[in-house]
Amino acid sequence: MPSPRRLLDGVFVYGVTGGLALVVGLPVAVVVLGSCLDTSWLGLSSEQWVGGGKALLDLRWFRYVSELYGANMLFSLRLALLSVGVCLAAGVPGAYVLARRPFRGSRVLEEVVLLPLALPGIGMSVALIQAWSAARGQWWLILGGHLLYTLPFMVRAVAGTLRSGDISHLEAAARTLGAGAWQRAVWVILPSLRHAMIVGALLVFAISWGEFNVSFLLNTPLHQTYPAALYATYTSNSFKVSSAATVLFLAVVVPVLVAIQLVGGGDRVEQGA
Amino acid sequence: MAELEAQGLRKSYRGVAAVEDFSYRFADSRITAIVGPSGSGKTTTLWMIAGLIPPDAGTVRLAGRDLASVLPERRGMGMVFQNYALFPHLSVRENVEFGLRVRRLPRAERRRRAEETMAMVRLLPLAERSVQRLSGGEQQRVALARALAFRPSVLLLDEPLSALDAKLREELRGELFALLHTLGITTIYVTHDQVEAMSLGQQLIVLNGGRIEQAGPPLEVYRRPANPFVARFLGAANILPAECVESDGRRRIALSFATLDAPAHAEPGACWVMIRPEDMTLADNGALGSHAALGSHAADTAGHFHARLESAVFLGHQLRLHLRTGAEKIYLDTPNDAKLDGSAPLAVRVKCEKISVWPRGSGQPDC
Repeated sequence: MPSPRRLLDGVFVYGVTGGLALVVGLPVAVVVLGSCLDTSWLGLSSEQWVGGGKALLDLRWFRYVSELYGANMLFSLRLALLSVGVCLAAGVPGAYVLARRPFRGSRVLEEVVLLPLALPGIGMSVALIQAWSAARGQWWLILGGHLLYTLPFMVRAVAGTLRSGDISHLEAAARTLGAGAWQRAVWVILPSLRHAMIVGALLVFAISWGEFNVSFLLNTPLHQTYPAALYATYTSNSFKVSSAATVLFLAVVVPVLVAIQLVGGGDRVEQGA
Repeated sequence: MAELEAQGLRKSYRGVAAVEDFSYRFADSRITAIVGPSGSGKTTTLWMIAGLIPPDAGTVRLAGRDLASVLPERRGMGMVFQNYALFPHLSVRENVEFGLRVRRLPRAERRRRAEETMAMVRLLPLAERSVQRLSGGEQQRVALARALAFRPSVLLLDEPLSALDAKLREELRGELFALLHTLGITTIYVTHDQVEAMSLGQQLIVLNGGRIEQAGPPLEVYRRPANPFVARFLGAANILPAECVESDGRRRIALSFATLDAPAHAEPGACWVMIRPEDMTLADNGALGSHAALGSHAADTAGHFHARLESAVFLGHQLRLHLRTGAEKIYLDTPNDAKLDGSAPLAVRVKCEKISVWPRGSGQPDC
């Protein structure tokens, strides 16, 4: 027989956890179910659409969304992959310099890199528009906006590993064994940063994929990223269409988030060992 | 072979000196142990020799060549780090081959040499294992094999056994001793453990506060420490104030409770006497004679005194007795089966030929 105190603890823990899960999970469940179930016959929906079959599982809306917004999806995927590429190419060497070869003002530079995270997205976007008004609508300006928000995460992840781990000892060992700078970078430092780079890349991808403010404000209405298209479905399409679009959005980002959890968790265990 | 010499090495961090004026010519093809308490600058010295820390002043020479402008990766010095610094993403074999790979040796040659080295430290059965799945002792052997595989001219060992537990440490000490002696490579072995330093080093450097306190063969440094710090650092020592006096053409050391035959190096005047606990024996009470004879400083009583037993500490292989005679407290080591009678004073005989004497200034010997 558990003591009243423990019983109370249990009720509290499971109550709070269950409550939170409900708050987070229920809207997602509604969206997912709403995207693929024909609910009109239940009378639960305010939809006026009455066409089509009477099957319970109804996937028409996915086809509709992919036909209408497929280009936006591809554009967003390209942006996200480009962001990952640029962050790896620029963020990793940059983080190495900041963490291992600090110079006068390198701490300030690091703070500046992190600064966009502290600014409201809309303020950032307006600033970008004013600074680059001639280039508004150009894909590379959108990419630049995404980098402002993604680079800090890559730099943080990599610099953190470089500062916390004993990579400096591995480097010293490689030096005494005769390895020059390039050999050390390729054979010792990059393999040691693998976990941080994977976590950083997944984060960058997820952030870029979901970025709304900069993409929405810097683009022309006809050339939009997928989150902006998502917004369009909310304002101008039916609940079923926007649900299907949202599910497609989640289908890309949820696996990435799960991967971050798995890889990130493994990383922590390894560092603790 | 490669003659290694350090001259006037100095390094300070934020104005605090870590190493000051380290000058030493390392014995060729032999093992030199650098020993000192933590913070004495021994690791800094080693890293400066390896080129991993730039010295503020001083030079390192290898075979007559100044290494100041030679990068660590070009020095050809094998190094074993305190935490081993094994490459976690590589297997045992790949770790051992690393130094050969960066030198772009042909694959077959690389493999042959790595296997040769792994065989030397009994690693062959573990060759394909990930280094993350090795015990501490195995990791230590990988680190050693990795440092030796490319046939370095100098081997630097930075506390290679300190991460292991006591029993394993003793086992590996014996193994390392055998291996390093057969290799005959100029080796610097840094440790804070005086037993390790004395048993592995053919030459010993005692470092304290960034300075060399004493250097020489281990037995000599242990027997004739240059100062009380070295005496106490290498082992237990009774350090007592005394007077070196000359009478009838013989020098004697007058303690408050006994008189000892002076060693050849003693100069007349106030002095400190060091007696190691193992350099005294319990004498048979009857053979000592009366207290009157003890007080007369007769020749046959030199080195004898009486003391009261305060306590005895069991150290395993020995008993350490805490004795008191007059105002002085004295430690004496005796076999662990000694029959002790705490009620009567114990008769003690000092092995006068083993004592050390330093002239006494105004300072205290405590350091």
